[in-house]
Amino acid sequence: MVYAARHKGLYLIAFLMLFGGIALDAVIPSFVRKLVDDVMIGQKTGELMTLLLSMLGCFVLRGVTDYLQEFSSDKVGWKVAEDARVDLFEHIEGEDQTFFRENTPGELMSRVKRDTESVGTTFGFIGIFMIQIIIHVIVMLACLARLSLPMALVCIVLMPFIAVLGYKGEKKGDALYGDISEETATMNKTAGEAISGIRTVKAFNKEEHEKKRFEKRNKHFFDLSVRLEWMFGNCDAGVSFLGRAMLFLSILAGGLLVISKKMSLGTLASSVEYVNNLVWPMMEIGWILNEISSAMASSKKIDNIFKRKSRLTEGTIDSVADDELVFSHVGLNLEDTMILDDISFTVSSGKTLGIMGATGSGKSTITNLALRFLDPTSGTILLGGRPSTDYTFHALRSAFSIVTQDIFLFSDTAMNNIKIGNPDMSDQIAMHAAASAKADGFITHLEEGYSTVIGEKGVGLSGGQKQRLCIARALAKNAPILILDDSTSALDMETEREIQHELHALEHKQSTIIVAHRISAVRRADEIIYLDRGRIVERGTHQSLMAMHGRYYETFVAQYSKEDADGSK
Amino acid sequence: MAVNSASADEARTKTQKRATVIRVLGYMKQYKWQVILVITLMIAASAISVVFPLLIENAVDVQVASENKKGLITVVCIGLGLALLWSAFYIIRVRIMASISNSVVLQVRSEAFAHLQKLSLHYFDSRPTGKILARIIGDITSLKDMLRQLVTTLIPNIFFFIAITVVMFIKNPVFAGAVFVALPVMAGGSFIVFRMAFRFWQEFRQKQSNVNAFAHETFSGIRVVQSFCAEKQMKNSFAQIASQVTKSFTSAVIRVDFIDVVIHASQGIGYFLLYLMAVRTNATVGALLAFTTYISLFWQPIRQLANMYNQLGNQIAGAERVFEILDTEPTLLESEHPVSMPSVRGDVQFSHVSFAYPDEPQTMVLNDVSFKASEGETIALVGPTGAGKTTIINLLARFYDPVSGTIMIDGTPLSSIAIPDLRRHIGVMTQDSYLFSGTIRDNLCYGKLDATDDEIKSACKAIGADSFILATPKGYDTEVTDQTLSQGQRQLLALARTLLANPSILILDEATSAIDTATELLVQNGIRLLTSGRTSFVVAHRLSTIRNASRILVIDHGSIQESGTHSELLAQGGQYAALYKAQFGI
Repeated sequence: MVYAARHKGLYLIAFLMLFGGIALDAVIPSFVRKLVDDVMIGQKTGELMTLLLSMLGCFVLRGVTDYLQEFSSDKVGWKVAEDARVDLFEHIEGEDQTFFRENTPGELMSRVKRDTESVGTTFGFIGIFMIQIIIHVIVMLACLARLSLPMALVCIVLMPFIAVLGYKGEKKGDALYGDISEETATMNKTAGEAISGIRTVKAFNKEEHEKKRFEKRNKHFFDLSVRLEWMFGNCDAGVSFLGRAMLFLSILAGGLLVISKKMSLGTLASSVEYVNNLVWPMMEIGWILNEISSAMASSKKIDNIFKRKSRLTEGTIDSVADDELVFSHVGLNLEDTMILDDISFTVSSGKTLGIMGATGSGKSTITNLALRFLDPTSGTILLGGRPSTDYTFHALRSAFSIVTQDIFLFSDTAMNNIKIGNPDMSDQIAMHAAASAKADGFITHLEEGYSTVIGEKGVGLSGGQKQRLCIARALAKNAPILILDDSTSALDMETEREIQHELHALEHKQSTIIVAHRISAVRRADEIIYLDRGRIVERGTHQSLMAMHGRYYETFVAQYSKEDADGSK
Repeated sequence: MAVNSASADEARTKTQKRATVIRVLGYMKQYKWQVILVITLMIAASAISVVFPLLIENAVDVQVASENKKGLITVVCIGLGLALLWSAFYIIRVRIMASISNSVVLQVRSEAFAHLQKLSLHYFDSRPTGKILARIIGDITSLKDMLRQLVTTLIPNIFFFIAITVVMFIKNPVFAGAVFVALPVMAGGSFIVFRMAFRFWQEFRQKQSNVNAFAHETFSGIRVVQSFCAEKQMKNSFAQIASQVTKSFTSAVIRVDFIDVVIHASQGIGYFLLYLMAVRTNATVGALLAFTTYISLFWQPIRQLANMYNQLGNQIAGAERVFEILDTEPTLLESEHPVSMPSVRGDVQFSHVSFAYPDEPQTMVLNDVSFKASEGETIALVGPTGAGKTTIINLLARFYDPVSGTIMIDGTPLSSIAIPDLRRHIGVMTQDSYLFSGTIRDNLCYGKLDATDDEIKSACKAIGADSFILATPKGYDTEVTDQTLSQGQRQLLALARTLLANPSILILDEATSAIDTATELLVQNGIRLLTSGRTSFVVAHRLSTIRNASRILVIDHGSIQESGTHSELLAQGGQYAALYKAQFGI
């Protein structure tokens, strides 16, 4: 409704044209009457051309009103859909991680595209048509009542039945459309997975398996669609029957009145015209209800997303004064599983923290907490001396440059991928960042250099190339705190060393958190923490950890050799 | 490789509108009898509709006028009975039509999906997921709309049009001729409107597809979007795409809706000529009035046909996009006489293999690569990123075919081996291991659906994946999606999945890059167990993984630079030795 209100102008045009059309419909017969009475009977042939031409003009004008009404209502529908789309998109973007665990991109895409569309059409064409019908029915009923109250009463008595039938159909349709919308989303998800994971599908020769999976959804969609169409078929047939019954029963009532001399035959004849005019709108009810059900189901899905409040509440402070990051006794318990337990550390301005630990020990969770993709269940995280929950998301996340473990690139140019989040960045800065990440070499070798479009998720590039672009992107952002989450794993050793060298030059200017499996990546850090099952089991500098002969030392031995380990002490 | 981005339009193919419509109609052949029944029912129902006005006339003019109560009641009862019959016909017709049209959608959708899976990786790599989805989910519904319109609007209305024309000419050929003059205006007008709008319907479909792709991509990469505070930027781009949709739609309907003017104007011309002729020929008022009833009946089918014709534009534009998938030739074809290979020893030979992507034939990604791997050997591929290691693996797994040269397994060219056999014997763990939504167990069994619990557990133990699996809330029955696990956990599952499939030739492409050292040690043991006795190819950056390989190939600039064992290459003092020093030059 809010969206509809924004486009008052278009609605106004539609309604003006609607009434204009009604007026013209009333005028055209008068020309015909004049033609017949004056020209054909009265033989005033001189008026023939004027009359004929004005009639033709009226017809053209009638076409224009129809045209404008239809066009403005089509347009307003899409405007509403567009507004809803953009708002929904923006809302989804602000959701937290739990939301994205519950809803796959395929499902969300379906909401943003299909569901907004169906709501839009209802606010446009369908809505205006429905109003037209309601006006029509009221006018006809009023005219009928003036001529013959008993006949109008027959209609008024039958109309609630039609209403009930329609209401029931709408309710059922609503539920079925809900299922269909759900199934569309599931079908998108299933097909989307088979497409995104096509390498895996092909590698395991599982085309047949995926086809069956999809077939199941396809078949279910078929069943639902057929059921929906059958149901509306019944509803339509019922309403049509009642509409026609209304006609015949009112004739019966009127006829009996005439026979018992309570009404004239002429009145009956013109009353029948009005009843006739009440019948056709009934025939349209079916498909209008169909559309409305679809829109209702879609708008419920959309509302559910809008209503869901992000579990994270945003603070109000919009700038971060100081870049000291403190974790104080932070714990995270999800679904009764301790992910992190009593994690404390401080990263002062310009210092470097190294985080090591086994797969699944909670290393990446620490970075997720720092950027508030989720909140800890105990303890506090302070940034610049204030709880990180005090800041707006924008302020908080602006303080971090992150290279995530998951390599995700957008199907856009290399340049735009580096500039993400800051499209106004100068090309020089972006290229400088690419050079620091050792990415400029391969980018300039691409067909169109920095303007080359990179495939979704960076397909077409090697793992190392993608990773270097991700690093470049983070460096270009140039935030006070740099987080490298296992970000050099796909690089060859030489490149890794070069990048580390570059990063090392940045240290002391920027605070850095390095999550890594390789000793070489963290050994220079001011502090290294070693995680196991969500707890810090060892902490210190490279030297002190080596001296400890614990887990860190074992990792070193595994990566290099015992001799190297003992030698480097 | 030329790649389509989420916000750029897809290329448009030259269209053949008539061919598209005929192709859609072709799907109806199998439902010939049902279609005939539907049309018969529609004609019967319309015949009934014609009777209604006669009944009303009779009731008022005859029964009521002659004060015949009984007669009135009879006529009303007949009317009610016919109304019931009409509704019954309607229900049957709707049911048949719903079954047919949805069956066609079901069929085309599954054909399109099956065909899609046959396409080469190049197809998938060069366009966003959301755009492929737009075609097989959204655009397909336009087939249904088209079919329904063709059957329930086109055929019956043509029938009516002919019937009413015949009646009109019999009643009064002069009047009929006058009305008919308006028809060319109508036909010409509709045709022009259709032609003008069509391009915009195509554009509309493309823009809608962009909405799909952009939304899919943004939501897939939401963490990146959020951590780079790019929400606003994304929203602005999306708003732009969304407004382009509205713009193309508006451009289409501003033309299509013009059909209203065409219809009314030609109707006006028809009346103009009719009255003119009536006056000129001194026709009687009665004759004229009787004829006007036919005219309103005459315009009904024409109006419906004109509207249908114009909606057809949008539908054809949608159907074309679906057929485009079906018409894309898979570039990787199974040989016409595929050699079935029930078992494989594992001898692999590359001879003079070169490769370039199909759309960039000039840029050689791989140049004259030759090597041999004997049964049971472990071959390590080393080299800087982008050197061509993954390409060698893509060719070996036959994700792509080489431009020149041959690859053989046990002396049989790869291209002549039956693809299912080939894939069964080659286990690939790719760089980006994909997990499907489902339980951990479902994912593990992906390569071997009938794996027993013991097999699953022992594979996971061998790989070192079971400890984290057991730590999840429901263990092996925990639901996962591609986004819920860490990279390292995903790699562990993917490894276990590959090993469960028990292939004869194993390919590990940076399979352990995100796994921590302690776990990797475990994994190495598992891999060692499994690589023994089968030919293996390993791409890795960590020399610890590579040191024990039977042979190491150093790849750079698309060709093999060095080849030999770890100690041989060290002794050679070339590129490998330099790489080794880089990692250990502490």
